[in-house]
Amino acid sequence: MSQSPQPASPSAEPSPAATGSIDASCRWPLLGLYYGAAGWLVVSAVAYLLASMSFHAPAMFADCAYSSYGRMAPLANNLLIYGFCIPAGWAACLWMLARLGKTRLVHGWFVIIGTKLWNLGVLLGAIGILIGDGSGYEFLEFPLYAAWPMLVASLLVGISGLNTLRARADVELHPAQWFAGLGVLWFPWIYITAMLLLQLWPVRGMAQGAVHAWFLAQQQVVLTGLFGVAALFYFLPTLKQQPLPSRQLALFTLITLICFGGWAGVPLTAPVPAWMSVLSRIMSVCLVVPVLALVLNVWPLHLRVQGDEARYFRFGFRALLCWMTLVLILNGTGVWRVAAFTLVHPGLFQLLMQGCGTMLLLGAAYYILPRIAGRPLVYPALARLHFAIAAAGVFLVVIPFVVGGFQQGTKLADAEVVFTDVAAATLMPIRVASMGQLLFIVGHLLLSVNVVALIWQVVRGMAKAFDNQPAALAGAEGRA
Amino acid sequence: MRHAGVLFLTGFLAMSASWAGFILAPQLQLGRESMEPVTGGSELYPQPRPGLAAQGAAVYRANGCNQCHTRQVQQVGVTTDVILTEVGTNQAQVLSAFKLLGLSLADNPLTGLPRDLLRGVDKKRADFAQKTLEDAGAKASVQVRATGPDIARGWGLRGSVARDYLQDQPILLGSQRLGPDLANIGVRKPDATWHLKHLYAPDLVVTNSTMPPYRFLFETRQINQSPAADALVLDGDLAPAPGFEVVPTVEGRALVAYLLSLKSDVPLFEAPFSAPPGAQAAAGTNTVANP
Ligand code: HEC
Repeated sequence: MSQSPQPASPSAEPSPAATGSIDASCRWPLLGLYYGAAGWLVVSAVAYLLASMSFHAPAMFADCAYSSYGRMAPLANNLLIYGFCIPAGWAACLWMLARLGKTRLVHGWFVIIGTKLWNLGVLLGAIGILIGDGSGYEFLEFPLYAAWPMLVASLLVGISGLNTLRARADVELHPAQWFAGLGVLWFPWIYITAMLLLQLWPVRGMAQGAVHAWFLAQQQVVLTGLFGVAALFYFLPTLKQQPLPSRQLALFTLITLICFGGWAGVPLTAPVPAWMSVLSRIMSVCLVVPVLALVLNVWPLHLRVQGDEARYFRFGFRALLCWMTLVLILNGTGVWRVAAFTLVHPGLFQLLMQGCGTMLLLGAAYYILPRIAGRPLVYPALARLHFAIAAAGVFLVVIPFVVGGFQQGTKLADAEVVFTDVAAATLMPIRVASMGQLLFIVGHLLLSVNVVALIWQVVRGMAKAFDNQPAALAGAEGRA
Repeated sequence: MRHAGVLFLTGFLAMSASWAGFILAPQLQLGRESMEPVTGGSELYPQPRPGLAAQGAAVYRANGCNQCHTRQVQQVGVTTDVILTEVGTNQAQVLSAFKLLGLSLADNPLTGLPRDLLRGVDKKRADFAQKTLEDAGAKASVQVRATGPDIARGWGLRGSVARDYLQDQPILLGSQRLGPDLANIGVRKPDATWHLKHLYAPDLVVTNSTMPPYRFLFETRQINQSPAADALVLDGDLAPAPGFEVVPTVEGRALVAYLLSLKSDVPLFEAPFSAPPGAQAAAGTNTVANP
């Protein structure tokens, strides 16, 4: 901990020559992570669209178990979390750890093997859900046989991250390193608990509900928070070329986030002993503390910041504020009763994961990709377009879900309204949201296009370099 | 924060705290719950599901019915009713007790017992009424009733509590009500034929149903000799070709057995309500005969 309110050391960047070698050490491990993540993100968006088709034409998948709503919806959620958010979060964290530590990525091949295992696990998990092996725990539907490779993969990535952190040149850690360091290690810790206690040796009855709620909070609030804040603390100061105003506030954000976040997952409606839901409600309200500390730190930085990637960070940051406001309203007042079991909750999930998490991670991806590849994005215009489309998608999904969810809840609370009328009230919001999901497919496809094109160019560059070695190699590595 | 060690220690402590709070403590409190006698009865609740219904739970999980259906009734509060069960020997005293309680004899004749005297009053008033009546030599019982929109919709007699899920793995609580709550569907819709037809073509039995049909839980096959007992009776567009019948697959049948086994309608110590007379004998198990 530092002594005086001195600003965090500015964008503690290594010298250009070192930067080139650091980025080169990240090249294949991180291109691999991004390649997989970008692909799953598109598949997830397609699954969201297919899931919503059941509300356009209920009988569409009457004869096909694989594409029925009850399998498509969990598939989409799981692919968004495990397919995209986590690997993309790791990629951003590893890169920040290397850059801020002024060291090459340590054990990059762990990450390469880890990525292969991870994608294998996600593939098995996706197939598992489709053939009816889903675990039945929401947002954690991958069956056990998919979880093993994922767990090993997360450990491999964690080891690489930890060793990169230890190999850093300066003792003093940059705040982004705190978040990124915990970010690469958090998942195996929480996943192993959930795997063991829910699937391998399941605990009894509602104790499962407690484990599940704990895991969801750790994953959706704490882990997303660690990834997201790491990105904000690194990229906003770097893009604005100003130091992060306060280390103390950053430390405060970290500690309050990890202390409060893990408790925020028990729904107020859950049939658990009352102390659990009350505690969880209090902790959800307390989340405003880390968010406020974050706002105090980065608000000036996020205004008028230049660069294509900056729009992603600005959007993600504001989406976080909207999410926090809604969480405050729901937990701080009696409104939660109206919102219970309605579309408000998937709306909040989309706001947090697509609006905040995915947007921040996309910004990081578009910043990191050209650097690790050692060449500019092949289609920078598509990266700009991706932002516009994805942002529109977030509005089209979140607003109908939240507004429609409250209408649904109002009808649900009135026992005079027959249930089919309540159900009918959900059709319109879901149908409008389908358009948002269609936008996500198109937008996220653009990321894949850029990643594939970039990898293709790197490979071609290597082939050329192989022909006339010395000159080209120096050229590619030197660029930052 | 200078040292990576301090960083990880902080992370570890924060995680351990929530681990102790939300995994260890509930495990100690809930993981040791056991089957308990139903209030006012002797059967233990909840019983494990019989074979076919247990298979059906897997079908429910595999097809993600929990993506649209919750299995947890919400209770907003409780209210009490006072029921007069016996008048006793001294009617004059009972009448003065009535006066004290602000009740009129015209609305509450002393015949046709048991009879509701007070409905939806708070516990204190109910206890007072009971005491007053008993002092007058009559007998009255105080009945507890759950309230809230779910109860009013007929989705259950009380809110769901942790014990209801003791036999479930996974628990399949659900978080969305795109469809109705199913915690008590076995009580509400006890007819297997209804369920089969509903799964095959929801809008055939529920007007304007938005539930997707689950035709893949059925097969159309040639009738051999005589139609199967559980063949669906379908007409119009959905009727199979002559000589063919639509029957549920093993999964379809198991799923319906599971649905019929969903009953959490017994009073428990932690979820009290006074069962309507006669209900207690029928309820009290989580089980049901196979359809
Ligand atoms: C896309 C959302 C959706 C899915 C998935 C879904 N349902 Fe439904 N379900 C509904 C809706 C809407 C209704 C209300 C209309 C009706 O009764 O048909 C309903 C009604 C029901 C009812 C009647 C409840 C009552 O109170 O009358 C049962 C039983 C039922 N569903 C069982 C199932 C089962 C079993 C599955 C899984 C195989 C399932 N549902 C999957 C939406 C869904």
